[in-house]
Amino acid sequence: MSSSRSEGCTLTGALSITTAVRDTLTIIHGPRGCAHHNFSLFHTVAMDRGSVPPRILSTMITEKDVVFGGERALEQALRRAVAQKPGLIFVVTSCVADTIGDDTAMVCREDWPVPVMYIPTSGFLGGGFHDGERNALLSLAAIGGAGEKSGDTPRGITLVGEKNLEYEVDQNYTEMVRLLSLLGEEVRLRFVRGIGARDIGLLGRGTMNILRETGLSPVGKALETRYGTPYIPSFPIGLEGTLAFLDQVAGLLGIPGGIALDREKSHQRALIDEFADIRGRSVRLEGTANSYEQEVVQELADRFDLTIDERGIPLPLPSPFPAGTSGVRRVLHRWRARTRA
Amino acid sequence: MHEGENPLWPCAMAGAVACLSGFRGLGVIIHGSSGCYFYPSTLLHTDLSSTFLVEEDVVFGAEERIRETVETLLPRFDRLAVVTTCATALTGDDILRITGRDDILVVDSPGFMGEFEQGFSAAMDALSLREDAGRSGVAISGVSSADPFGQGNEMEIRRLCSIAGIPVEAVLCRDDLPALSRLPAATITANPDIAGNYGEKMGSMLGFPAMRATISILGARFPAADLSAVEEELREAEERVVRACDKYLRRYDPPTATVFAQCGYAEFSADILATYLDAGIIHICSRNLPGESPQAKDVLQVQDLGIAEEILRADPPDLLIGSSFEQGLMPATPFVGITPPVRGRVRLRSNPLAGTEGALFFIEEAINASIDGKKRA
Repeated sequence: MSSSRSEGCTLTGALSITTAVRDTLTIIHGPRGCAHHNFSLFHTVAMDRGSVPPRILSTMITEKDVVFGGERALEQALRRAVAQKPGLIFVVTSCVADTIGDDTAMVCREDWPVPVMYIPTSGFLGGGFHDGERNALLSLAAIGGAGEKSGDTPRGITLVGEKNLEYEVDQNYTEMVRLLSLLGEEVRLRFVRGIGARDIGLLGRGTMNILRETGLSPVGKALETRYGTPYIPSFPIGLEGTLAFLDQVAGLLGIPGGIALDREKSHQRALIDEFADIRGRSVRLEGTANSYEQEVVQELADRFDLTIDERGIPLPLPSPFPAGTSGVRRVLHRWRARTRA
Repeated sequence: MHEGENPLWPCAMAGAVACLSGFRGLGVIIHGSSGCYFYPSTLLHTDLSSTFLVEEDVVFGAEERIRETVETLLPRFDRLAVVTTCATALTGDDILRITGRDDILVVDSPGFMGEFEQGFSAAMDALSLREDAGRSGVAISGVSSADPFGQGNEMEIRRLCSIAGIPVEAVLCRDDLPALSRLPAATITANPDIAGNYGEKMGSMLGFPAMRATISILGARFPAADLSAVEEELREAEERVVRACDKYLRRYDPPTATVFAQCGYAEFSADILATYLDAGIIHICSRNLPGESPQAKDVLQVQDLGIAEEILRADPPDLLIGSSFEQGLMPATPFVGITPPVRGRVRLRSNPLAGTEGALFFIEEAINASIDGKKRA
C-alpha cells in the first residue's frame, strides 16, 4: 500500500499548523465527528505536554446540510468564531464539504470583522496529512510581511514546518538551536510553532529558512521566490549529515564554519566512545524508514560494527529520525537499553 | 455560545465500527480514507481494516479497492462487514454488487448521520440477531470496546449471574460471531445507551435501584434461579456505601457535582452521589441524546467542550465526573473519570461501573478524589 493511502487526513495536517498559531481559531467545515476525531488527537498531545489544547470549531454539518448545502452552517460557525474575537480565523474543509460542493472560499471572502483564511484541504479528497500541512504553511506564508531589508530588520534563521505532533518536536528544536549557536546564529522565527499571528510578519526578514523535511520543498521554494530567502531542505540527521548541515549553513550565510565543525566532530567522537559497548552486536531493525533515514541507520551500523541479522537483537528504527548529533545520542540510548534488556 | 467548539463525542461511523468489531470472526472494513480509519483504530485497539481511499478512487471509482480489500480479508474472517464513511455514503458504492457477495454486512453509518450511539444502534440492527428458544439464560447487552468499563462490566455481570445460577449465553457486542444466531430472549444491560433493540429487557445493572428492579424481574423470568445470594450481596454492598459516605459526611460537607458521560452512566453517577453522599448535583450532562425516562428531564445534552466550559465556569463543582476533556478545564477539581478519554492515569485492571462492584468502585473513587481534594486545599 502506498504511503499516501495511510498518511492520514489533510485536516489533521492543516490543523497541526493552524493550531500552533496563538490567538487564532480553526473551523472545520464538516460533521462534528471530524472535529472530535482531530480534537481528541490534539487533546492527547496537549495532555502529554502539559499544554492547553487548541480550540477547534465545527460547522456541524448534518444530513440536512448534505442535502441543502452547508454554506449557511459555515456562516453560523464563522459568526460564533468572530464573537470570540480571535486574531485570525482559519477555515479548513472536510471531504463532505467538498463532495456537496459548498463554495467555502466565497463564504470566507465575505466581509468578516476578523481576518478569515481559507485553507483548501477537502479531507482526503485534497490528498493526505502532508498536503494539508503544506497547504496550511503556504497559505500562512501568503500573509507574511513584505520582507523589506531595513536597517533594523531582525536577522536570524527561520525554522519552517516543525512537526507539531511529533513526540520529540521540542528536543529537535533544542538541537537546532545548539547547532546554529556553534556558528553564532540564532533561530528568530518558528514557522509555525507557538507563535502569534503577528509574528508571521517576520517571515521575510530572516537570513535563511531551514525546512523540517524535504517534503516541504514547495514551501521553501515559495518563500525563496517571495522573499529571496535561501533554504536548507531539511533538519540534519545522522553524524555525517549533521556535519554537512553545519558546512552548508556556513556556506549559505558566507561565514566561517571551521571552528564549529571541529567542535562538533570532537563532540561526535566522544559520543562514539560513550557507546563503545554496543560495538559488534548482531541486530535486527524493526519499523519502516525512508531511504535517507536508512542511510543514517547504515552509517551508525558501520560506525559501531553492527551486523544486521534477522535473528539479531530487535532495535527500533526511528522514523522520523531525530535531528542532529543529540538525536543520534537518543537513538543510541534506546538501542543500548534494548541490547541490555 | 460555544456550540460546535471542540466536539466531545465520536461520530456514527465510529459507533458502528465499535459495535461490529466486538465480534470475533467478523472482519470490519471502514470504507473510506485513512483519516477516518485512524480514530476508531486508536479508540478500539481491535483488528480493523479499511479501503484506505485516496482522491483518485473517488474520481475513477473505488470498485477495485473494495474488491481487493474484501478478497484479502476473506480468508481471515468468517464474515465481513463494511461500514461507510461520509464520502462513500455520498458516492453510494453498491458493495454487494461490486463484490458479487450477498453475505457481506453493509452498515450505512456516515459521520454526518449523527453520534456514536446512532451508529452503534444501526450496526446492531443490521446484524439480524436471532433468538434461539432453546437458550435458557441471558445475553448481556451494552458492552463495547470503546467503553473503558466494558470488559469490567461484562465480568461483573457474569459473576452476579453465576451466583444466581443464570447462564450468560452471549455478550452484545463482545462475542463470537455464531453467538448472534443463537441468542437467548432475555437481556441484561450494562450500558443502556448502547443496549440496542434486541430481546426481552430485564433491566440495567447500573446502581442499586436499577439492580434491585432487574433482580426482581429476573426472579419472575427465571423461577429456578437463586437470587437471594445476589440480593444479600447487594444489601451488604449498599451498607458499605452508606457507611463510607456517612464517615465522609461526619468530617466534610457534601460535595456539589457536575457529571458528563453517556446518559445512562451520567444518571447512575448523579443518583448514587445524591442518594448516599447527599451531593448537590449541579448538572447532569449527557454526551448523547437523553432518553425518555422520567429522570431524563434533568439531563442536558452537551456535545461540545466549549459548552461544557461555559457550564463549569458558571457554577464550578466541588467534584467533577467525566472525561479528561472536562478535567483539563478544571485540573484542580477532584475528578472521577467515567467516560473516554480518561488520560493521565495508568489503567490496567478491568474496573466495572455496573453491578455491586461497579457501584462500590464508583463511590470509592468519588470519596477518595474528594478527600484528596480536601487535603490539597
